[in-house]
Amino acid sequence: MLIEIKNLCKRYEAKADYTVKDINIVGKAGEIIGVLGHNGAGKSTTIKCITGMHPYEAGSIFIDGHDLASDSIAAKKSFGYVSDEHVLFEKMTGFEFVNFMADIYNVSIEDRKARVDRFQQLFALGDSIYNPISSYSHGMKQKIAFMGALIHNPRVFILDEPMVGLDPYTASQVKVFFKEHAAAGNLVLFSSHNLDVVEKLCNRVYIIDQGVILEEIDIAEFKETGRDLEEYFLSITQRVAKVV
Amino acid sequence: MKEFLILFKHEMRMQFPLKRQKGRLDILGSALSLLTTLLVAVIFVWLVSTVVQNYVLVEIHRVPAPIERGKELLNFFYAVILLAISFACMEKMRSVLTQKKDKELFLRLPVKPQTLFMSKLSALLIWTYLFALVLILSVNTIFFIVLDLTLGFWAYTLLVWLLMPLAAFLIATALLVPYIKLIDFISEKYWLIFLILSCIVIGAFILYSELLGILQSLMETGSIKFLFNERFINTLQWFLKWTYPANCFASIVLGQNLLISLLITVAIALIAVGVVYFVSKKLFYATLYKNENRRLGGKNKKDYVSRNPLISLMHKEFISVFREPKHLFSYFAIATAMPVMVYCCYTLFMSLIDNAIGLKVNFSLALLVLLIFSILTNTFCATNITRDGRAALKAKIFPVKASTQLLAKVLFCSIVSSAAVIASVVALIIADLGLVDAILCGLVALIFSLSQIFIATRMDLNHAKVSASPAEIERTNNRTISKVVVLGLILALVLGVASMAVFILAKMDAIEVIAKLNLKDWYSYAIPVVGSLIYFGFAILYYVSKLEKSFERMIG
Repeated sequence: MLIEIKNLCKRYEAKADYTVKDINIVGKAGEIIGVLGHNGAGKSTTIKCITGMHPYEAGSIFIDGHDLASDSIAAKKSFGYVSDEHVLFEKMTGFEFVNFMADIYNVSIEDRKARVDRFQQLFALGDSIYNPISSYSHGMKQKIAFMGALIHNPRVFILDEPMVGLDPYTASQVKVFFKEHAAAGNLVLFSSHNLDVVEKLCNRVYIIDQGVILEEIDIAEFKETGRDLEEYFLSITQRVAKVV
Repeated sequence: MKEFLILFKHEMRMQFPLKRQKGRLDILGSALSLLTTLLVAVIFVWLVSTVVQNYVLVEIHRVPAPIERGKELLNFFYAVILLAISFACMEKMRSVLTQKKDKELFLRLPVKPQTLFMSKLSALLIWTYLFALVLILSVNTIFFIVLDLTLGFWAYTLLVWLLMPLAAFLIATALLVPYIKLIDFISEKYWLIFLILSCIVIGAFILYSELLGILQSLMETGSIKFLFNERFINTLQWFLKWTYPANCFASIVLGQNLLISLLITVAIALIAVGVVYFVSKKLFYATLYKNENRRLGGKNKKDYVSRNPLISLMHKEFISVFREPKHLFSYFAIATAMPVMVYCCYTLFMSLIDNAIGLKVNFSLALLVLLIFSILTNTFCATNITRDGRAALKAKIFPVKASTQLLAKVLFCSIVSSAAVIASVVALIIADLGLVDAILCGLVALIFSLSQIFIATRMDLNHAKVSASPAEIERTNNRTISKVVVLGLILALVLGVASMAVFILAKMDAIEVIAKLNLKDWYSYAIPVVGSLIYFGFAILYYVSKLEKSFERMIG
């Protein structure tokens, strides 16, 4: 397993209700996994816990066999992460940022050269990579964040709402990249509320609502039933809303 | 009209952000800032009234002419005020005309550009009038009391207040285009910004120490008339002849050459209204539709450099400070100016204490001065975590230990701080402090500075709020800075004053009670050395205690 989350519980204040509760997610090499939910369902909190940005109260997270709690450095080396906020070190140029991330992950000069060239072409960045990040548009920041997260060719690629802000060309390139990355024996895990993207890209989907996982869906099996993912998603999340 | 009023209200809120923010009040920070403001105001009023009182009594060829002298001085102050308002106005105009976010927002709104422009200009005019009111009122009140003028003076003051901001607008507009071009030219030349800011800080401090020097003479002789000799007055009179329209304002307020002065200033005001409107409108429209996407490709560094994570993190710290003029000023420029500040303060206070008690307490004084300035320089370290903003949270995903990540910040600050301390030690040697004393001073200051950096960084980590509203972040940062500064100042004063007191008491062995204490000179060295080492130990313990846990818990 490249990712194994067991009974993850997180709350932001002691005595408050859990923001996410008993989350169980597994992902193996070659898979693209989607975490699907409405705004505020707990997708970002789950992802922030997986990446070590937020501490959690209970449960365990293993990434590429490394426990995030007890072996955090090895676990963090195994993944690359792109957040939904495009928070970067704005005073650096895009090139300096990518080089900085390569230093952090101990990437050799040869590997970083090859990867930067590849991503520069993939994202059609051209010379703008040498401009300060503060001068970038939303989409440009997203592209640089992708490059920074992928510079060490991580086995697990985690993303929070990855398609937001990308132009149609780059979005299609990213989708192709996801498939290639997974096919190379890696895992891609991303959160989204875009059902279309999730249905087309993912092998499996976890539907999350009000902090709990409602269902795990195998997309291939689901398609065989002839049901519509959008209708199904809305029906089960509304059912939960009514119960609550 | 409705659109104008809505936009005008928005602009007024931007110019005068008086709205009270929710949350805890920073009592310590507010008290410190109130105290500093009061202190500056008291010193300013006292200094100006002393200068005025002394200057108006000066006689040329033994002929007293208090009103003439008063007019010269008033002319001088008005020239300074006009310059200050013009510069402030120019900077405000620049930011109003080039505000990128504001521009993007307004371009999307169904608002005519001229309505937007007029709302911005009107709010700016009101701001200028209020700024001018504060300055003119303070200076004129002093003159009114010292020169014993009639109530008519206030009627003329009102006239001057109405006209001066318009003249300032004219000066600001005339200089606006070259000023914007200059700012654009230097905006990404960080070394140049660094040099300019350092020169400004050093210049301002030299000016300040000159003022303190005058203050010292005043305390020693009870008068500063020695400054105002015939040559000085002749030079001042020649200079003031050219300070249009400040000399007209001085004439108006004292009721001299009223008609001609009024004609000149009203003409300037009328020209100002026209020129300001047309020039800034043209500039505003030009910048409103200007494409901001600059292409710098090819200018910046393209070489791949491999560094180990610690060095790379330190390099990132350097870039984030060096490429942000605000940080460049508050850290690098202040650190660069520190040796000059230490030199000026040390020489000034050394002669003051020497004159007062007839003893040379050089080591203790140098140490106290050095500690105080290193505390001020290291204040910046109290934002070591939070100045990264939300990017501080991104660092949590790095496969690098929290201790290493924070060490990079501490090391970076330590290098800057140590360089400033070492240069200050050289300045103290130039100021005639003995070599051994200077080196010992430097060692204590280095230990003290490192302690301050450790404490400031850890305090910032403990209270880091990077995802809150900008106002909340600023309030939290101010609270942390206040705590770090107050703690440092108390300790510096305790160490410096204790060392000084022991040195002085050791020399007073003629007094039986003191002689019984058997104090030795070297105690004055031992106290700060031991004290700073204890503080360093405490700082290290405070810094390392549950460091990784605190970093993990930081969620902004």
